Amino acid sequence: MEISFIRNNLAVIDHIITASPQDRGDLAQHPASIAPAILQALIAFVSIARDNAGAAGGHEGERHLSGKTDTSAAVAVMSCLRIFANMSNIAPSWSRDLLTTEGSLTALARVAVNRTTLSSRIATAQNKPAETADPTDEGELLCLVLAIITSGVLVDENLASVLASLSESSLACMPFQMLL
Amino acid sequence: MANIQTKTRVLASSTLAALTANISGDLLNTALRSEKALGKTIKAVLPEITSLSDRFDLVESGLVRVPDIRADPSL
Repeated sequence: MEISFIRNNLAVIDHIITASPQDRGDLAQHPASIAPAILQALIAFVSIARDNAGAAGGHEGERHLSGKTDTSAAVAVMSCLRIFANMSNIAPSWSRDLLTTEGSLTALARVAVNRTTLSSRIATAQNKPAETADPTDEGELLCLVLAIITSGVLVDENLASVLASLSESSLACMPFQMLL
Repeated sequence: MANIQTKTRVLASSTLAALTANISGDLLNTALRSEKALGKTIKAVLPEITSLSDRFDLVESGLVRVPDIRADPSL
């Protein structure tokens, strides 16, 4: 299993559905089999991308994957979010299947909370200074998260109730409070 | 043999990713649509995602590595 293989294929899927309405329509027909899988990838990649950041979670010895793996994972996070935002925008069933999958809201919140770390990893992947998070990437990560959640709320009003029931401490990020 | 296949797959995916990043519009449609690239890409990547996600406690915390990932040379 290669992180870079998954990253590349997610980038290809992102590019194809962005450029081809016909492919986008084809993919819209299969949310139940694809959306949860890409969500699983998103959760795993966020974990890998923040692995060397010294953030909470995991044991000390588990935080030392190679930089290449970190950056590949961060780039893949962006691809996952773009696919979700694109598909959720055109296909209500995608939005519903994604956001009703257990762990989805937590995963999106984790992206928002860790967006500085993620954008720093993406900057490294693009051969920019590693210590400088690109505010454009930070903003794009946040916008994509909000776009996905907004699509979900428009499709299913129950999701708004779920969001409202989440405690402030469990979300721990401003965007969700702004949304509510 | 398995290692060669893995490297070939990564090379192929890298080439495709580079192509899609640098061409757009009608040319992209012509180049990829005829080959059913989307379906093939999804078919190739879903088992790999499953293999990756099996290593994480995704629902409970999303952060806990289930096996010792450091012992896996493929990562």
